[in-house]
Amino acid sequence: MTGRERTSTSALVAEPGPELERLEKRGDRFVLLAALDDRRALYLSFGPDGYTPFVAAGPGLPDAGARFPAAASYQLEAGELHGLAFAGRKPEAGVRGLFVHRGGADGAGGRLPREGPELPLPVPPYRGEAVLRIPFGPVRDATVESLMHRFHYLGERILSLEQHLGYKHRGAEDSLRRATVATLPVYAERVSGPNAVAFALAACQAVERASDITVPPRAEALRAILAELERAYNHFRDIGRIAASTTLRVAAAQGHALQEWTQRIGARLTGHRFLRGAVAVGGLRRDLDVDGLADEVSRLEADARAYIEALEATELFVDRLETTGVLTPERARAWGAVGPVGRGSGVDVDVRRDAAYGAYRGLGFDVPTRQAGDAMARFRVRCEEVLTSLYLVRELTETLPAGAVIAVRPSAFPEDVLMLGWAEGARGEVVAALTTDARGALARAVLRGGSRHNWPLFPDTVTDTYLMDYAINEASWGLTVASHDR
Amino acid sequence: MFRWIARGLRVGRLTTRYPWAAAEADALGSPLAAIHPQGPTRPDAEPAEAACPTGAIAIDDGGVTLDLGRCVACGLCWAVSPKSFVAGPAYGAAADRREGLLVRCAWQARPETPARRVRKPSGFWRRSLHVRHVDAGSDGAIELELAQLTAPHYDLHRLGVFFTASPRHADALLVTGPMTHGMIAALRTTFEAMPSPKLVIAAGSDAISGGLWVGGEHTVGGVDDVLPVDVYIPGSPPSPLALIDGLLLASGRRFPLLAAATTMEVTS
Repeated sequence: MTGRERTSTSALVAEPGPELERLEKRGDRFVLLAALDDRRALYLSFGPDGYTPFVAAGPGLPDAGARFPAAASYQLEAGELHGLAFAGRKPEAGVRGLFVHRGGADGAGGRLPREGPELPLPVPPYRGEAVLRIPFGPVRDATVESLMHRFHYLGERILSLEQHLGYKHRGAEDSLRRATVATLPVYAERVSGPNAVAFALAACQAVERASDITVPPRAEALRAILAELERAYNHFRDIGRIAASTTLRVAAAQGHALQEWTQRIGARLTGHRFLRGAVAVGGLRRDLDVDGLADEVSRLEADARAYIEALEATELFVDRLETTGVLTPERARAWGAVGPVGRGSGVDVDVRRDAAYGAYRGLGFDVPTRQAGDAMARFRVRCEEVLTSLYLVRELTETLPAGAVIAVRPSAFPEDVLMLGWAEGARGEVVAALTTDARGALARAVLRGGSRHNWPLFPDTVTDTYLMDYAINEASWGLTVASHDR
Repeated sequence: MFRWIARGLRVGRLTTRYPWAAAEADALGSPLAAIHPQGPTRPDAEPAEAACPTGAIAIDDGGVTLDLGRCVACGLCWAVSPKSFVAGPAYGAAADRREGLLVRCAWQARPETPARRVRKPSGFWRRSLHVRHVDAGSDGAIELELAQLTAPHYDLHRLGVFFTASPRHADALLVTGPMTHGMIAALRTTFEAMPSPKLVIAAGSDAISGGLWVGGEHTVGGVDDVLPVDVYIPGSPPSPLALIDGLLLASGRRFPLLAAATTMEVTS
């Protein structure tokens, strides 16, 4: 599915049992599972031929979690939001907590109720006076997103962490079905605010691939510049948050200052601090003025390099990060963890290189990985990536082709197709799977960001660690809740 | 440790002059739509009404009404109707009532800026305002902007405004996001835990009108259906400057430049 193809979902129907077995044997990386409606599920994996989708119709869908552990949380989501039923064990057994408001009394599925029942927290797994409980959320620290982490702990030791997401579910994918070719990027940019460019690129490239639209080279290069600026400000922000979690106030402030600098560069290019309103289906909405960009980015790069060196030389900081929040490479690989979280645990996945799109087809760059899987590994991966991103911005600016930024402005989506697009966001692979009906309206729009894929992995890295490490661990993952809950 | 002190000194002062003076051109960004200063014309404005994804633009025989509370800063209106709409000010649009976000303009007339009211000068919060933030389903971007408020470039503490973890210490509840059903109970509990008198601030167009996320069964589409809102800060997301502007409006402080609007230039 790396070439330009036009496929109807009905042409992709396969027998799920044997197909999952074949994909597992082939060593595919599991990407997503999503309900297309209350009867059919879309499966997507990444193998030697690129992205491989297939569709299976219920009832009697097998439990894909047996072959691909990451599938369990997607099955839970498909059950809760679309009432799709999967065979085998209840998903709760494998994944703790996802969407808080369950439709049926037994959590079997159905649409969400208008104002949900009180939080159905499971019975505490521990008893005894010495075991303490913190229900942390959904309202947490100021200026962070809503989710709930419920700890049980004994002394300083965390016995278990239950993770409850879904408080922020706003039906973004339902609203997205209203999108037209013109407004598709507007919606996609607002599914996960800090990943606006990556989401817009995934969605627009899905339509371009299915409609056989060629994006002019100048637009491809400018899109890559925006995507790298987005990665850079997010990584600066996450590095600053990691520093804050180790109580390094000055380092935290300077991380935020680098983030602000990068966002201001983006705002001068696009008008918007989150780089919105530039990407359009077919190219860019308008040309961007890159005068002075390369010079300013090289000053930013020098400052970032000095900042990172200062952090690496601060023992207090390094000591707190090493061996904190370990995600083992075995578990990360079995799950198909993406983004800096996956790469920090040795999962060498970056779709800019593995399924190159746009300007990345002709670019050489390193994809950093680490094997340790701890907070330090995730920090180091981000540090190397942010410098690579700034280098790429300079490189792309200096070799920017002239010409138009949009050649074809399609007026409608192609009819009855599955459109697939992808982009590497700051938190990992972003995948758009859009289907249209016979009249060319969007029938289903799935936008899966890296955070959606990685969140279910987080609780196990907290269990059996110490309370003081939790904040550092969470900051080092740097996930957004909005792109999980959608 | 010395390394960090030295670095801190070398970087120097980064903080914006706002609100003591107009903000630096660098800090402007994420503008909402505004009506063209030369006045809109009907044939030119009609494509914008059709293009607006949230219905923020309404056209009738008398003129055009722009609802900043619904504007998600997508820029489609000034792209398709460049003689009727422009990229607006980056800050200064916060209002203390919902109607204060409606900009009405007759055809070919100059747009009127809605009269900016400074909240009743109770004096209660003028020296110090403690804010509890609750995310009710935002897209995650506004949380980055809120975090910037306490960072060097904006440094909210110099204005006596602080984020607080405990609702018991909070004077104002700042809500982001289109009010998802999942967050209603948590938001009400937080509000009830706050001592009176208390303020509610709806920050971002999602929190004011639901933005793009309306019409489904998962959101209420605006905070004011659940809690009484005192101050509205439109934006998608509002820039840190717009958030400061709204917080100052909430606290009842007066600044000479509070009403001054600064428009940025967007490359075209």
